[in-house]
Amino acid sequence: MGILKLLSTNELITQIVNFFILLIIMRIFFWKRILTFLEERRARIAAEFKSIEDAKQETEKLKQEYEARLRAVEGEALAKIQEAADQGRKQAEEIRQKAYMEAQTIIDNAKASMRYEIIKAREKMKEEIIDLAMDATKAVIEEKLTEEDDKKLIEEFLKKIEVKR
Amino acid sequence: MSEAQTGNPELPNIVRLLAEKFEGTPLAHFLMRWENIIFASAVMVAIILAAYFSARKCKMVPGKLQNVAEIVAGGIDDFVCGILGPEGRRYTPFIGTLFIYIISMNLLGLIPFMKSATASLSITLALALCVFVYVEYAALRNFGFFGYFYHLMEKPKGLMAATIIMPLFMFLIHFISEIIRPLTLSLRLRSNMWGDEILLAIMSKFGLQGLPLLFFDTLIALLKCVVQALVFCLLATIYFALATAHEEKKKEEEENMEGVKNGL
Repeated sequence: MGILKLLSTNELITQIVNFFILLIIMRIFFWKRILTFLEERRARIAAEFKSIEDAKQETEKLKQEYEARLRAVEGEALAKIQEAADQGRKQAEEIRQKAYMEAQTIIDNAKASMRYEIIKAREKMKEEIIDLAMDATKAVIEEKLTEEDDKKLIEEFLKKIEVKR
Repeated sequence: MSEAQTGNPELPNIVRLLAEKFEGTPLAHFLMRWENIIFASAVMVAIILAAYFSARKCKMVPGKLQNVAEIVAGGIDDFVCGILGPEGRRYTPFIGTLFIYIISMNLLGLIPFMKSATASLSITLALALCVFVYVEYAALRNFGFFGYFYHLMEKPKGLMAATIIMPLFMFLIHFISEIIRPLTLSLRLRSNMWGDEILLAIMSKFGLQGLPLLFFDTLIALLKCVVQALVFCLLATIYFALATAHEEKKKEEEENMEGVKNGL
């Protein structure tokens, strides 16, 4: 019974009371507060994670929606651009055709005008040659000329013709 | 019991020195008589103050003291719930307080002029008795009065129950093992801490030459303080686990039955 000698009943009872008091105080002022707080924080972190996950999913969904919309818009824009380009090409072709026709008309008109002017000039020249020939003949007949004067007169006449041409 | 009373070498401590100073007076008598309780109470007050100030205003972004409190409380809670399951959280305050109290008393002995109150059998037995009473209460609550006796008889059925002697024998074995628990718990802790105190007291008598040895022994004692507190609380948790095993099993069975019903 050596062990019993080491025991002190007073110490034993006091220590039990001590521990009981410590347990009650710790339960109220420490464990209850800390465990509740840790649980709250755990729940809050879990909720935060869940909200982040939800937001992530929502963002992903929105992203997919926007991407789809963007693709549709891009397709539409591309089609419109294509349409505008086709229309532009068509208009350009029309303008080119019109310009070509107009140019052709102008050239034809110019050619016709030129032909008319040439004919007109020829007619005028013919009339002038006839007038000159008439004048020369008149002069030859009216004046008494030497052989030398005749020669000179004819040469002058020929020169005039050359100049007229 | 002092060195003079037991004949074992002991390190001087502040209470003993005060008692020697006022020798022959009622104060000296009081100090000598309540030496261990004084140290245990000092630890208790220190723990209460630290716990109160650390958990007074819990903030989402913790300060240094709150951080330490959260680490300690969270660690103990994980430890208890790891063994007892989520239902075991109700025992966390008890086991946690026990752990903090024992480890603080153990470590106090390593501070010069202080004494480890756990080197006294009265102190450790008081704590072990608290564990014993709470465990028995938990077991009685879970099994019921007759259920607990039935549990101690290893739940005899059929031929085993008819023999009567075997269940009674099993009951006797379990009863003895239940009764012996506080004794083993208290003696293990007390003997380890007491042994450390004696060893440190002997080493300190070697003077300067024994300083490296004393330093090494202090490190070992430091480790032992933590391990002994851990062992005490681990065993207490296991006792709770044994006392609440029936409850867990019952819940599992109920869950299984629910599952079968839902399946049908």
